[in-house]
Amino acid sequence: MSWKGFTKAVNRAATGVMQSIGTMEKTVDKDFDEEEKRFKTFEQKIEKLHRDAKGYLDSVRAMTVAQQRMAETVDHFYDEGGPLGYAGLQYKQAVEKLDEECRNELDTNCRVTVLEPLGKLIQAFPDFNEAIKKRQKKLLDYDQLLSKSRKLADKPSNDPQAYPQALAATNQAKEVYDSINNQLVAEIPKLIDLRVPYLDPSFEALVKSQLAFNEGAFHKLKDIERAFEKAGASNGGEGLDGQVEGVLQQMRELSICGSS
Amino acid sequence: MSLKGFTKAVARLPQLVMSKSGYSQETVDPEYQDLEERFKLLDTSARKLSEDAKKFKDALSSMLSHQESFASTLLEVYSPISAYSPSTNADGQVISPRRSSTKQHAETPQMSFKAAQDFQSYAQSARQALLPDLETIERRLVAPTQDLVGMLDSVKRVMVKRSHKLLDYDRHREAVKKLKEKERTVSDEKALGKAEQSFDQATREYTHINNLLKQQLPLLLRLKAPFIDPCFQTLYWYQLKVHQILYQSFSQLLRQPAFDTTVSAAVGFESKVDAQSALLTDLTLLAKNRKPIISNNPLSPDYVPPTSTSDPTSSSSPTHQPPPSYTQPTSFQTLHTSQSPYPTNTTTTTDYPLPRSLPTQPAANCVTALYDYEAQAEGDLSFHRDDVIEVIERTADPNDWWTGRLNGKQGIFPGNYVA
Repeated sequence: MSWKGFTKAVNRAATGVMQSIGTMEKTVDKDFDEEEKRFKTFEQKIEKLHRDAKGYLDSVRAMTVAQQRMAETVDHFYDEGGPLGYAGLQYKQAVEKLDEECRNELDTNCRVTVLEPLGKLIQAFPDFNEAIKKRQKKLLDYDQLLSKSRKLADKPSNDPQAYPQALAATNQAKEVYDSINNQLVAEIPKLIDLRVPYLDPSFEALVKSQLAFNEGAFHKLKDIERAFEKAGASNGGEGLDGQVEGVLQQMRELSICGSS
Repeated sequence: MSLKGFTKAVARLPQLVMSKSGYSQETVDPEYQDLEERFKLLDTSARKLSEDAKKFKDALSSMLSHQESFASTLLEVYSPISAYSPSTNADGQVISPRRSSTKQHAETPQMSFKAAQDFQSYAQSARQALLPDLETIERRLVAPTQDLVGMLDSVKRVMVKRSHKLLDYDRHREAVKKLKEKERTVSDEKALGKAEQSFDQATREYTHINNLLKQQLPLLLRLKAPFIDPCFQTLYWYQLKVHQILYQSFSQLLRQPAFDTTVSAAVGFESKVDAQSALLTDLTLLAKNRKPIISNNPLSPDYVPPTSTSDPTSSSSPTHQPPPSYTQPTSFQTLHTSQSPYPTNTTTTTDYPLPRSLPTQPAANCVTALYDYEAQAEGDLSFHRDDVIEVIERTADPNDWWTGRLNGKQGIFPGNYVA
């Protein structure tokens, strides 16, 4: 930090302390405070949206990878034959296609239509936060100069120049503060108001790509349903309860599997 | 390791080394070896399956929860954003207390809002519908595979035991063989008797465990397919159900008038992406929307060399030159005076960066004081704000000292105090 920046920071810190103990008046702009709060809420929500979108995509990827690996393993289990061996093979193919589709379509689509636009929106936030910080500093400057010029008005100093100078400085500080304050009060609502038109295309694209992905997955899986039925597998997974447990019990009865 | 285990291990070591180095013969049971191969395959598969089943379940549940959370956040974003945390009344209707503020915020179009609402409710109900089945996956797929892995571990322990017994068997067999081959002394005869006894026992132990494994491993391996059958079916039917429910939810959702179903996601988005990013360019606060600031520093990429063709209306720059360090830093001198920190003009040619816009450009050799300046040394020129100074000598660098004349007095003054 430069020397000038340092003195500024010290001055502002002193002003802040004086304001908090009440020896110096504090300018309050309700409009700005409201906009600032709205901005903070908005920022939080958009960031959460981005996290969730990314989380969703990551978990879909993890899901298709896991199911592909499982399909391979299931296939190994049938290497010595089994009524569902054919279904296993078909399943493996379907799941492989699914993984490919997920990678090529859902993944790309989501990245382009959802994550990138959200990212662009998030990129705007630091600029706003920067401006909010700057406004706060300028406000402190202004408050300090204002209280100084008021003091001079109450107790004129020996230097006849002092009061007009202080007044001019105060006006200048006010100008600076006003310009950034007004800009923020105007820009934050603009930013917040554009959210729906901004997000709508992404939302639509997301719903469509999710539909397309799930539709594809559903049909691919539905197509191999016959392979299960042919093998005499129970429909819809009914009556599977207890089957695994039975097999496990049979295994447990073998003395080599016992916990001895 | 217990003392007994340790002595056993020590006793087996020489035999292990000898059989590995080929000095001593290792008993090979091809039938068992085949079984062992198949068992190892099952073991790797079971471990992989157990791991992936867990991953699959976790991924699925996180997918559903992210989807729901995305949907509800989207709904929140689409709802009016107020500075006050919205409270919910008995009907579940969100009422945001409005201050007597006269400002109107743009309303979310009813159509979009409805779509977001439906999206949220579909995502929620899909998750609700699928959660109980997630538990089924856990019960019928994840837990059994973990059980299986546990059982395979104990089989492995038996196999390790068998290899120890095999080593014992080989060791005693070698010992007996050696003693039998040589001319025996009295003590050798005694040793032979003892060795034969140990050999008998080792044979019994090894044969028992070897036969046990040979008999039971095939049984275990035969159960492999019956084991995977229900697991596989559970997986399949569940996946079918997941995608079916999600598919139905989304296709119902897409009947909303808010969505144009005639085009695919990528194509539909393509047509809107420009409008979308154009929305952001209206925000003047964004750094990337700002006009490049003309820099004074020749090293800066934005530096524009001074030219003589100055446009009187284009010379406003937000970067106020900081007062040089020779002044008493009274803070008012450091403040901006420009009306808007960000210029709206686009001209990049300027004479000198000027801290404020001026209605008229003074005569070329005259400048207007922006601040008061008191002479600080002999030869300095004092002036007040708005004084017009006649410049006698100026340099390209406004941070430099210029020479000027005011009210008949000549002196030097900081170039950045004037415009």
